Amino acid sequence: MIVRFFTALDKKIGWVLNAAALISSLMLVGLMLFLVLARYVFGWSIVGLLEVIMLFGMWLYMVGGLIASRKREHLVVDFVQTNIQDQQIRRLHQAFLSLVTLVITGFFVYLSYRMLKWGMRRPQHTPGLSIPLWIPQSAILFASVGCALYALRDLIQSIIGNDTHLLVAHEPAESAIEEDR
Amino acid sequence: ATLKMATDSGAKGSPAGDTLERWADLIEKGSNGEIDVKVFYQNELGSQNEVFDLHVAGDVDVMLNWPMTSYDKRIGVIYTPYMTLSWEEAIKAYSPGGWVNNMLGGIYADLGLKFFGPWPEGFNGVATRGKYATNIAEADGLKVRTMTVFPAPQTMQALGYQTAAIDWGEVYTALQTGVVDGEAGNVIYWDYEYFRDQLDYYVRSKHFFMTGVLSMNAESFEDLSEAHQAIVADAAKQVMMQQFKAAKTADELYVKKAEEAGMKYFELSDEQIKVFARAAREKVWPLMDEEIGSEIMGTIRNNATKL
Amino acid sequence: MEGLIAVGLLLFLMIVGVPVAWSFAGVLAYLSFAYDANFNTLMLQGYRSIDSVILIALPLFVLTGYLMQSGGIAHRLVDFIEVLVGKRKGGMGASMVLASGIFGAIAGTATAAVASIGTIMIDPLEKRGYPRGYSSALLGISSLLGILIPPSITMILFAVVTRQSVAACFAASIGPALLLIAGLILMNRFNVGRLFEEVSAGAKDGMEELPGKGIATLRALPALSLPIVILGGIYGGICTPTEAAAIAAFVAILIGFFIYRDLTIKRLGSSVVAAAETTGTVILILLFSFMIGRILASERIPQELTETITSLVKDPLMILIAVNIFLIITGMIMDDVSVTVVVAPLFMPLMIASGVDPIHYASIVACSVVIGANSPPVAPILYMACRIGKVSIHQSVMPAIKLMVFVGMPVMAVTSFVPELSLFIPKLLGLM
Ligand code: NA
Ligand code: NA
Repeated sequence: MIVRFFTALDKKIGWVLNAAALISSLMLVGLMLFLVLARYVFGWSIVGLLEVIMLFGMWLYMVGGLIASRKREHLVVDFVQTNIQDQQIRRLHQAFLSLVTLVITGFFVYLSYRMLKWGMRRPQHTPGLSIPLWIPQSAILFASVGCALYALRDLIQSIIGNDTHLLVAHEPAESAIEEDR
Repeated sequence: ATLKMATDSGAKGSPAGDTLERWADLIEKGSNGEIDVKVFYQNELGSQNEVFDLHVAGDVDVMLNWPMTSYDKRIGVIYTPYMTLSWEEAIKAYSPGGWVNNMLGGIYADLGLKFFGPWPEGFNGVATRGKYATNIAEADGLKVRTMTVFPAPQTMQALGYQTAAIDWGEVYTALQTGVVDGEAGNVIYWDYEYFRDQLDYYVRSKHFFMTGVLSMNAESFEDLSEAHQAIVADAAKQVMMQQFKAAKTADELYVKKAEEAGMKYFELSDEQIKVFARAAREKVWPLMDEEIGSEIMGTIRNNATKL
Repeated sequence: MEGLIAVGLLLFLMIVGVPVAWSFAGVLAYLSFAYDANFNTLMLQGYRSIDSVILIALPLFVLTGYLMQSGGIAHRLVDFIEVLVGKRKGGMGASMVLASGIFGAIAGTATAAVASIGTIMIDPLEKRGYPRGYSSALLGISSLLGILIPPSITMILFAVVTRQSVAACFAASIGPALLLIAGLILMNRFNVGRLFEEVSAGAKDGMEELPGKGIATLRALPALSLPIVILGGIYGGICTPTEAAAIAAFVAILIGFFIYRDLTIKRLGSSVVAAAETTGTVILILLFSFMIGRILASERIPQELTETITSLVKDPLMILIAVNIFLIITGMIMDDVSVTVVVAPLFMPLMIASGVDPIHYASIVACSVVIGANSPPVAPILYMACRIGKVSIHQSVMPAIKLMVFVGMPVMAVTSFVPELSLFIPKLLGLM
């Protein structure tokens, strides 16, 4: 029951993250093209367009990092993992890694929180369009909290001994890419 | 005590870098070594934004910075186009007791920074390749890179140019390939130093009087003993007064160097400057009323050079 | 002492299997407590470092790489390359090196080539018998041609900090770039039959029959137009390299949808998400290594190390060798931007005093970045190559070290001791 709830929740979150990545990527490409067209073809000088582009860029970076946490696809040096044969030790090792990751991502959350807190005391805006800096910066807090929660998920799973990634609706990451050509 | 001193623009050995070295030296010697100054040049602590962040937060105690508007739009007053038109007027306005100096001191204080004084570089201009403009009509179709700070792009547009936002790191390639025709808004030193092999002309449009600012984080300042506070402030005053004398000479030296390197240099007549000034004041000043408030702009209108 | 602990901690975290991004964050945590960093501004500095217009080229070129794959562009290009050079010994490896060189003339960073060339070529290389770990290592070092062949963000940064002419610095690293290309192609040819057996074109079961030369070329024409669009855009004065990356992604979508018709809405969606994920993993590593670099720089750690070296060695030749070694070691433990902007300029006065031309020194620094970016523990380009090549890092480390020792370091040594290799082109162009 609980498992089913979390599986459904994970699917919904995955959908939202993918949509956010899609939107920010397409905005990035579209606005950048518009910038070139405006300058080169129409001769318009648009103040602050780059600021909007950078805003979508920051959200893209952070959502991308979070998606990698969700799918456990962060870059790893995995020769210890691949050389452990014993199931029990493997689970212990997994729990240890998740715990370390949880502590470190907790530090990441703290740093991001401190950045935003300082930003409330000394607020800043972009020079062209006066976009408040907390908008792109909150992408970092969002990603840090998300990554910490996924580290917690991994820790719980390794403790209850769930090796089959039950709580992740496992979608092949690069289905389109891996299709046999 | 230990003070961290930095600049956002100026490597070791550049005019700004030399100033830091002298300032640090005066502080260390003046305090008989009681104050230890650690100097960081351009990019050593990060980008321009980053170093100013550190200054506001007190990680960089003492700084020679080029004003940024991200914390407070009012800092943009320093980029009011055609506020003063001659060196004499500019130096008077920026000197201690002068009207621009007073205005900046108040704005910096609100940011938690102690304003020691300006570090003037001189009047800026437009450096281009291939073609150049000495009036608004000629500027039509010329694409120039400007600072993103308000109202730098708006000012160039008022002077007839098309503007583009290009990151400083990409300016060289953009000039080389022709994405932009020029780089607008700096004193000739920067264009000579970084882009002389790409640029053919420098027109001294004089829209901004460029200056750095010598400042200290207010909390760091309070932490010093009164004697040490006086030493730091006096040392700042000394390098500032020295720069007031040196700036014009240095600027003329770089004009000469640029000409020797094959750049063509144009000084505009009073009449030509006044046409530019009228256009910029008419188009940009009303925008500044909205952005930084009519009170400050009132001060500027009362004190600015009459056309 | 803190530095040694930091390096030890980084190695420990990475080797036990903590994701690389979090390993860096762990070291950052240690250093920020050891040096009492200001938590108000620490992440703000990290944010500023990645909030860079030039860096935006990264997700765009990553996306282009994925789109070239899912839109059928890569497939046609690979067919074309196979028909052209496939028969020669080591041909596919050589064409990856050459393709990276061509990409280097398009982009100012190494990441562009890693993303695009990697997604296109690692799979076909595997079919031809190249182990993925080896291909990824070769990709990592080849992609650094992007900073040796102008335009180069590394050279721009160095020139800005040391007040040298950007054009001269650009021109200086062309010679070493050509040497590196030759070295890599030779080394690859040498490895064929020794490290692995090369499968000749069409020989292996399940591999498609190759089309004729004419047909392959014709089919590849739209794909080949892509580099022309990018190069034409940049050198034709239409756009900056960053903007060219967006145009490349857009054109790749157009070609995929309307010419090859391999792209569907669904495939576009999953390509975009996969690209975002790859970008995200790289950016988090960059973010934390930038912040580590900031802490070290503000503690003057690199500066103090430099002074130590200066006081130990006096002979000009020995100084040049010492600087080479020092740059390689700092390159191993710091990111390339920190090395270029903080460490390398510190030796400038020493270099000039030893009779080394600043422009010559610029190209030595560029060579050290080629090695540093691929030398663990801090080897962002190698890691990214592994990510793109879908191979675990430890399978790539040995081949990467071999390439570094037998090609990268000799190229750096020749660059260091034969000034004319670097100075010939700047002199020819009248830049010095
Ligand atoms: Na390049
Ligand atoms: Na490295």
